[in-house]
Amino acid sequence: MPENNLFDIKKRVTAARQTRKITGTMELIASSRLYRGRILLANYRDWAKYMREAVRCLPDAYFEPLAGSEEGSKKAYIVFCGSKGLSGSYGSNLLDYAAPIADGHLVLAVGSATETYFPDAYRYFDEETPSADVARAIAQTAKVLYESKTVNEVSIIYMRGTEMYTDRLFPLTRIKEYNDMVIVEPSKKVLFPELLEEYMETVVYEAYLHTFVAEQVARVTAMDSATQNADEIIEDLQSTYNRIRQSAITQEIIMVSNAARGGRA
Amino acid sequence: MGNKGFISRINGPVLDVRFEEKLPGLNELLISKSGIHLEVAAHITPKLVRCIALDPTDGLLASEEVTATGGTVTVPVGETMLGRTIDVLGRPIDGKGPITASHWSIHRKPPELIMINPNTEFFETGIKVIDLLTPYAKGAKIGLFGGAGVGKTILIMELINNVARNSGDYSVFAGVGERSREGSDMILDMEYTGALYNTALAFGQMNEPPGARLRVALTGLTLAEYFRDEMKQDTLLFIDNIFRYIQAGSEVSSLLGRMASAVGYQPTLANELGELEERIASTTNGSITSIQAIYVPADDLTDPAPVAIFSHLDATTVLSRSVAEMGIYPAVDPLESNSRILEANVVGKEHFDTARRVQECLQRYNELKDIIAILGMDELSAEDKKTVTRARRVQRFLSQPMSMAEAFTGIEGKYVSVKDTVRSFAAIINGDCDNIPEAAFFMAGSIDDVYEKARKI
Repeated sequence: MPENNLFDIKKRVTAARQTRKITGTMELIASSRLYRGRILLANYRDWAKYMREAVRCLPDAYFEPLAGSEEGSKKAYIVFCGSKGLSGSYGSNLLDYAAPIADGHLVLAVGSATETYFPDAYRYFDEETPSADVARAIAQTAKVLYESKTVNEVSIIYMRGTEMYTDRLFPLTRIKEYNDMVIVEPSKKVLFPELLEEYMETVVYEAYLHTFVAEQVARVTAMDSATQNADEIIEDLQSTYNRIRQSAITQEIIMVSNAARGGRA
Repeated sequence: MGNKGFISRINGPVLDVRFEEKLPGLNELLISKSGIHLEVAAHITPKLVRCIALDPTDGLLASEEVTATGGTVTVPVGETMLGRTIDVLGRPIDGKGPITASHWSIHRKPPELIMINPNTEFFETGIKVIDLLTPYAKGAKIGLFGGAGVGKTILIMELINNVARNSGDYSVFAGVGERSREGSDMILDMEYTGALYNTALAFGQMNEPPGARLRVALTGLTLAEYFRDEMKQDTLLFIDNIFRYIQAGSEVSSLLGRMASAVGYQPTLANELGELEERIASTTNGSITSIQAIYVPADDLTDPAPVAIFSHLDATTVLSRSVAEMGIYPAVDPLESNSRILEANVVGKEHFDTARRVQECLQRYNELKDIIAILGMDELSAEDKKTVTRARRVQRFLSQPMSMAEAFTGIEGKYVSVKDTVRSFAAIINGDCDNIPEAAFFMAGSIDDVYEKARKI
């Protein structure tokens, strides 16, 4: 039986040790990335906050092309999902949440892990840390899709902490009425279109960062418990190994000593 | 009358007898004045023979007179033995009166090489895991290995129930060193089902001295040999438990003055076993299909006794504790068990392919177990996840309600034909049942049963 075979046990211990090395290292990597991600997010939050405030000041004329009021069934979803693996149920939770929502709609997906769920998506590949370039590219595509009336709604699916969210990007929602008292420099014509672009990019990028941080949190937790599981398995196997080995030794000693006695009698 | 000698030394079940004139030959039967049967095992000096007692030696005195019979142990054989139960010496122990039949010596030669008929005809047992993964052949030697309490005896009873009752063939049951209660339970059961009247039984159970347990396997075998050689019958021979035969040999071995070999077994282990196993053979006269239960000491299949038995068998069904612990009965280990006739040109391509795919699937699941334990299911690839889903369903589906276990499970036993078995496993392995909850696969008959159960859940 395999559980009684010393060689097999040894092999399983070695395999578990190797896995433990990987999970242990991954935990360290993930926690350093988490730290970096948190700083990025903390810094970005203020920017995003001011950006939202600023957008509130835009007059309706700028909104109109991006704030169509008609409800439509042609939608697009931006889905973020880290593709590194070794992060427990993070990926499948997120994608299981996204799949029924985005089913049958256009998908802009970030990360190769989304391939099995959304094989026909526009795919963007994620990088070590979320880059604003990717966010800009996505925001721009979304804008084009929306302006060309290919879709009449664009939403972002992302993860924040351990919760999943769906936020609408287009049509843009007016948060506060335009206030004419605001002084705009250099001029509305120059600033407003640019501000709008910046705003869209910011929303996308913030969601991206949140998802990134959530992924690192999930990975740290998953790797921590994996390392503990590996330790348990190694300990169990090692004690089985020692027990079997010792009993084989004992048996052999008994046999030798008995044979020696038997020879004399 | 006869050649007389005197007991000179008694050491438990082993005795020395002194003959002044003519020594009795090896394996000759001696009878003491108080009626205790002895068999000559060794010649110590030109005047001294060492014997094994076939009866309990209680009250026996050294210096008691012993008569050499000039022959070996003989047992009654033939059709009159059907429905009867005898002990090692051929004495009836079922209380149905004396037996009058021709007698055969229990020590015989194995059939000659030219007579042996290597048959490879599949025969159905109605037990899914056996028919699929360790198919039995008519006339083959089959071993059921298992540690203490994993269900060897229940499985052998189920096989008797399924095979012996359905085929018209004669059966012989040899109870070697197992519980007496099981023997009497079985006789009652068989009487109830009517299988008894096609069966001859020989018992030498735990309560008997080692000499009786050592020879009763031969008694049973002799009954089967008569059916094969004289009546040209296909015969089924059930032995429970062949390990006890070896154990009995080991109990007397050191008393006989032989030095113990590995793990304390007799140095003559392979020879003793070969003498028995080589006689269980299918010849051109008829076949003996033997099903032998083999106790595995301390669950260690590398113990010298199971190892020695392994090499004699055509099909090995290994019952494992880890499977029994999951509550899956019969607790057959699907990866350790195998059969010589599991090849495409005997069982058919579909059967063969299905069996191999089931094994591959379970093997892969086994390899993945450590990874799952450490990292969890989520880290597996989609392909591996599918394998795991199916393997878990296959694993549960390998369980089967048995008629003999009705008292324990409360579920009526189910006989599944091999056609249904192959079809059912093929369906699981092809992924037709991935969406059916695992619980539905537990203790089911064919796949139709599973669908039925799934509807109820």
